[in-house]
Amino acid sequence: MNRKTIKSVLKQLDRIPLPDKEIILAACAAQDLHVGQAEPKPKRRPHLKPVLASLVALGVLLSGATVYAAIAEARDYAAAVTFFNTNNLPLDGLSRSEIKHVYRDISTGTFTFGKTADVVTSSVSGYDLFQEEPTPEDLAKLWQAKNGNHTWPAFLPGQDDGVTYRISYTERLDEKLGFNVTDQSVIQKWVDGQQVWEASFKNLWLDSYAVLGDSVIVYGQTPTWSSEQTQYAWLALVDASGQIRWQHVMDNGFKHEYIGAVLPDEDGLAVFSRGNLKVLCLSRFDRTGQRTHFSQTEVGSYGIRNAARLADGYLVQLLDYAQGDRLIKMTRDGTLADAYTYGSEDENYYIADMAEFAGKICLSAYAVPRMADDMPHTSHYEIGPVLEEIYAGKDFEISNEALTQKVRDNYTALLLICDPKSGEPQVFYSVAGSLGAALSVNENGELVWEVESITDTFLSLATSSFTIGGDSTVYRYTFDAAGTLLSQEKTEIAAPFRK
Amino acid sequence: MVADEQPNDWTAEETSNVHQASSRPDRTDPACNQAIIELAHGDREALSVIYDRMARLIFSVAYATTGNPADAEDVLQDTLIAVLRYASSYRDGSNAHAFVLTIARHLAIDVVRKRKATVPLDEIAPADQPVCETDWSRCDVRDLLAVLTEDERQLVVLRLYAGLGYRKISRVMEISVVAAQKRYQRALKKLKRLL
Repeated sequence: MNRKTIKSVLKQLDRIPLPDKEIILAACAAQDLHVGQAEPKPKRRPHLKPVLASLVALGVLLSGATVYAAIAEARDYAAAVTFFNTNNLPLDGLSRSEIKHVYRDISTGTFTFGKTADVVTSSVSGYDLFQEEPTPEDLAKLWQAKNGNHTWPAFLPGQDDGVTYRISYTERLDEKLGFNVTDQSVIQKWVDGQQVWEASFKNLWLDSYAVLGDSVIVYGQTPTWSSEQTQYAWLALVDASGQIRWQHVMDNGFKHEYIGAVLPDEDGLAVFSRGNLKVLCLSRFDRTGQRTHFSQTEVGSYGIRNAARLADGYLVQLLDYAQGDRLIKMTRDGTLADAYTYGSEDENYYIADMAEFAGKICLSAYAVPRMADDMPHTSHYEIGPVLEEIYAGKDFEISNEALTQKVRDNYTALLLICDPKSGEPQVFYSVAGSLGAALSVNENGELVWEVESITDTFLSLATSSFTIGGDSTVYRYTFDAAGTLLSQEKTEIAAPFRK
Repeated sequence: MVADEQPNDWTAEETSNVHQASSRPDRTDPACNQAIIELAHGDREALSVIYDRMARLIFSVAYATTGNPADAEDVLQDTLIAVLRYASSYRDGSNAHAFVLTIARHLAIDVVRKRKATVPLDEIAPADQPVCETDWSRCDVRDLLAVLTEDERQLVVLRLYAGLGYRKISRVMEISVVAAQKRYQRALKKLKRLL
C-alpha cells in the first residue's frame, strides 16, 4: 500500500456526513461564556476522612529521620521555585523532582540534565517572523532569471551595489610532469557590468577574497600535485586601482595550511588559518603587509567557517557536522577565552554568518532536525529527514513542488542575539522554511539579516556535488539596536540552494 | 537587548502554543485567522467561518482519535465552543489551524480517556473483518486507522488527509518535528505492511 492508496482511503472521511451547521452553531450560541475568565472552581467541602488521614500521615512523618528529610526536601523545593521565579524560568510541565533537578543542574553549572535544556530554551524570548509561502510568481521570476536574457550570476546575493569580483584560473602543460598544472589565478573587479581592473597571481591558487574599504584582500593556497608537497597559505592586498601592494606566503611549519577567514583590524587585518587540519592560527598583518603577530592553538578537527570582531577580541566559527557549529571566543593575542555550541535536543544549528551589533553577538543560523546517532555526519545530514522519507516511500519521482514543501519543513532560519560574555541566546527570531544567511550593518546603523526562503527545489540523486538543488528567494529583515524588527523586504535576489 | 525588554510574554505564548507575530496575517488561512480575532472581540457570527473552513478537518482528526462518528460530532461542537471561549488567548497572525486543531485533539483525547474507563477497546473497533489485507481498493478507512495507535492515527490524518507539514503537525501534537517525522514513518511502515 503506497501513500497514494492511503490518501485515497482517507478520502472516505469526506463521505461521513457532518452534523448540521445550524444546529451546531445554535448549540454554541446557547453557551453562556465568560470569555477570558477562569472557570469557577467548585467549593470544597471539608471532609473528615482526608483530615484524619492527614493527621495520621503527619504523625508518621513526625517520627524518626523522615522529618528531617521532608523538611530538607521542602526547603530544596522552595529554593528551586524561588530560583525559577527569579530567573523567569517556566515551571510548566515539570514535576517537583524535575524542578529540583533542573535547579541543581543550573546552580552547580553541570547542565547535564535533559530537562534543563528545555527549560533554558523555553525561557528565551522568541519571535516567529511571518513570511509568505513561495508563490507561482516567485517560481516564474526564478525561471525567467535562469532562462531569460539575464545570466544567473547577476542574481547572486550581495550584488546590489553593482560591484562583483570574478575569480578565474588558467593552466599550462608541465612537460616534465606530463599533465596540466595551475598557471595563474585572476581576480577581476566589475562595476555595473564593466571590468574596472584585473590582478593575476602566478603559480598560486586563489580561494576567496575579503573587501577592506576600497581594497581587496585575496587569499588562497600554493598549488600542489602530490601529497608529498607542502601546501602553504598565502594572501595579498590589491588596492583600488588593481595594483598588488603586497603579497605574503605563510610558512608556519605545517604540511598543509589554508586561510579560513580574514577580518579588518585597527592596524591592518587579522587572518585565521588552519594548519595540518587541527591547529587554529591567528596572524595579524599591518597595512604594509608586515606580520605583527602569530599564535596557534590546537583545537581538533574543525574547519574554519567564519570570524567576527567581538569587543577587543574575536569570535571564530568552527565547523563540525556532528555537533553543530562551535563558536570560540579568542582574545586579541590568540588565547581561547571561551567556547559555545548551539542547538537543542531535537535540532542542530548551523551558523551561516555572525556579527557584533550593539554590543551583542548576532548569529545568523538555520536549524534542521537532529538525526539518529548512526546517521553519517556529512553535508547530507541536513537533508537526512527529507531523504529518509523519499527512500522509505521509494518516491524518487517526487515532484519539485512536493519536494520543496518537504525541504521547507526541514529548515528554519534563526537569528540568535546572544550575550557577549556568556554566549547564551537572549532573543531569537525564526523564519520557517528558510535558511539564515548574511548579516550586515547598513548605513543607518541597523542590523540587516538576509534570509533565504526556499522557493523551488529538485531531486538529483545522480549529481555528485549535491542531492537536492534549487533556488531560494532572499528576504531582508532590519533591526534597530534594541533588537526590534523595523522592516521586512522581499528582494528580487535569488540564491542557489545546494545540499 | 534582554528578554525583559520585549513587549510580550513569551512564556504565555509557549504554553498556548501560538506565536508572536502581531498584526501579521495567518500564513495558512487568513480568513480563519480573522474569524478568531473577531470572535475574541465578541462577534459570534465569525464562528460560522470557522465551521465552514475547518469543520471537516476537526471532525476527521476527532474521528481518527475516537474512532466513532458520534464522538467526533461531539468533539466538533466542543471544539467550536472552546474556540469561542479561548479566542482571546489567540495571537493575531499566528497559526489559526494549529490553534483550532490543538484544541480539537485535546478534546478528542479526553473523550477516549473517559471512555477507556467504561468501554472495552474491542467494542470500538470496526465490527467487520478487515478487507485491506486482500483488497486495498475496498479497504475501509476504519480498518486502515485501526492498525495504528492513537497518535499515529492523528499523524496520518494530519499529514495525508489535511496535508499539514511536519512543523505544523509538531505544533498541533505538541511534539518535536523529529518525533513527528519518525512517528509518521513508523505509521507509514505499518500501513504498507497491510498489503
